[in-house]
Amino acid sequence: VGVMSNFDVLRAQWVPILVGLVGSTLVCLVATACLMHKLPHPNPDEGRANQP
Amino acid sequence: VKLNDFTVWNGLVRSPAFGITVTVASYLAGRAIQKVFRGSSLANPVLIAILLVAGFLNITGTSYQTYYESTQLLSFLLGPATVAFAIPLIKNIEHVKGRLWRILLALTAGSLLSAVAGVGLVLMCGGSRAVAFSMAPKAVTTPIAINIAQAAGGIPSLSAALAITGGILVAISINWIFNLAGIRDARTYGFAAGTAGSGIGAAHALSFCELAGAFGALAVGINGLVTPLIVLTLAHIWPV
Repeated sequence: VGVMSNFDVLRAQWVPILVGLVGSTLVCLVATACLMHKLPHPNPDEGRANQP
Repeated sequence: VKLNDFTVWNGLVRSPAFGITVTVASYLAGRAIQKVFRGSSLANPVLIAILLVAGFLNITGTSYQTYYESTQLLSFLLGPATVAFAIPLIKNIEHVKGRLWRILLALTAGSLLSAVAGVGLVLMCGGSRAVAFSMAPKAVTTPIAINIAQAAGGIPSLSAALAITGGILVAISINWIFNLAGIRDARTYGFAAGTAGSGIGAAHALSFCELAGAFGALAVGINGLVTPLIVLTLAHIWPV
């Protein structure tokens, strides 16, 4: 809801904010997931019991 | 409408009961709407609650400052709620043992990429330094993001909004990304959600299973230590 107090900044710089938000979030998500997935685990099948 | 009506209303909106009732009721409505859409990630309850509260404040002509002041108790509870993530982590601590270096490596890479990509993309698209350094700490939990933004020359309230929006984006997109990548590991799911989406991401992971929630909580905790170092170093490299 705090976005309401930043309408001026959002209106003036919505493109950099949107690109930065989506880009950096997805880069972080994919990089962390790939590294955690690729690095060897002591018991690879352990986490599959409760897979999402 | 009588003047007294306004007086009563003005008194009501300044009481903590107003902010808490509006916020909790909006969140519960968000949960109910998500159930209607069969738990779809697109119907994120936090996002729905934000839209409902913003709409309510707009319709009633209540300023954000008044709402903010009446929700101080909820803002205070954000800290203990983050600490409460330690409970699933303690229950699943045996899953962390023997993996600590992998966890630290994955988190540092994710956190570094989040901050660098955030600053880089904002500046490349013509954004200001203040906006870039409001974006940089958005992967950490909101109270920490506010403090980092303040120290790095960002806009604290914008950073808080971006941290929450980033968490919602993670909750909405993570299932799609994991299905696309064919990753089916609860630990990876939770850890990536917590690293990229902080508290909202970890809470989303916890809604799937406790193990994912535990790794989400671990990511939120370690990220709170790593991200300040990265963002403040970037701010030092890129002075005002």
